[in-house]
Amino acid sequence: MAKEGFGIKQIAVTAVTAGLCLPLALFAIILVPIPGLPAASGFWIPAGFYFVMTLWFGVWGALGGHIATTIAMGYFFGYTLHIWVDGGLGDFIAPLVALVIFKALKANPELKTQRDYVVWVVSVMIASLVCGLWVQTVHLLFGVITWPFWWIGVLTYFIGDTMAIVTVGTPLLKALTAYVKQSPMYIWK
Amino acid sequence: MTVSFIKYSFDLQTEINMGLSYTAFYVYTFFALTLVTVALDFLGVKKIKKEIDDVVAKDQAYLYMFLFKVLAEVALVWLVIAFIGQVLMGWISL
Repeated sequence: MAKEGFGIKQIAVTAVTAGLCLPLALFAIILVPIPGLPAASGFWIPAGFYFVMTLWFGVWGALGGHIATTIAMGYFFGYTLHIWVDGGLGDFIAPLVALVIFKALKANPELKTQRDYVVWVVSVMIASLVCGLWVQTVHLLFGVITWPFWWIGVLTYFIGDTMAIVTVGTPLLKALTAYVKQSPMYIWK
Repeated sequence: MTVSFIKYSFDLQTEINMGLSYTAFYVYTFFALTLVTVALDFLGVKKIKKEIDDVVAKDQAYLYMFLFKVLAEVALVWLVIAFIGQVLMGWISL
């Protein structure tokens, strides 16, 4: 989605997003674990960062979040490949869903109007729900979780991700978008 | 010499901490300084907003440095809050 193609800036954005989100993902899983759901957290704080990076820089921010959560779930916690890939893909899809909604509704990431805030919160809620549905349905189909945990998982992702993203992402968008929009990588020009 | 130094350190520790372990004292000092640094940086940035805009206009690299620094600061603040939260909840101890 970036207009600049691929280069050092795109790598930097992806790497920094991944580097920031990796420790946050690790501690989110440790701090607010959901019993019975592998690699789940009730307050998914890294999403606050990679959602914002995705709104600013497009797919590169989402890719950073994907790399961070995949490594956090895989390398450090030793979950199976299925769980890394499933969770990591969910965290890749979710910010892109929010971005598509934001684009479709022509909202401004600077959150200047009440409508921008509404679009932001609604897009985050829908993206978190999509992420939860994706991750838990794949888990269910592969026999990683049982049916009652599907509901808990979807609800946990919906509430936990939404709360974290709105709490962290809103002030970041409000405070930093004015600077970020000077970047040639900013996708809203 | 080494033994007496260690003894002195432990005496000092007991005297200063008043029940707080040396590890806790060190970690909380580090946290306090981190939070003060972040707060001062935040206030400082507000004072030189125009200058930052000028530098960004001349050098795009600074924009990314500035952006990544702020994001890292927010992550740091969160990690400090999360750590203290765990201590208060009794999940970990120092």
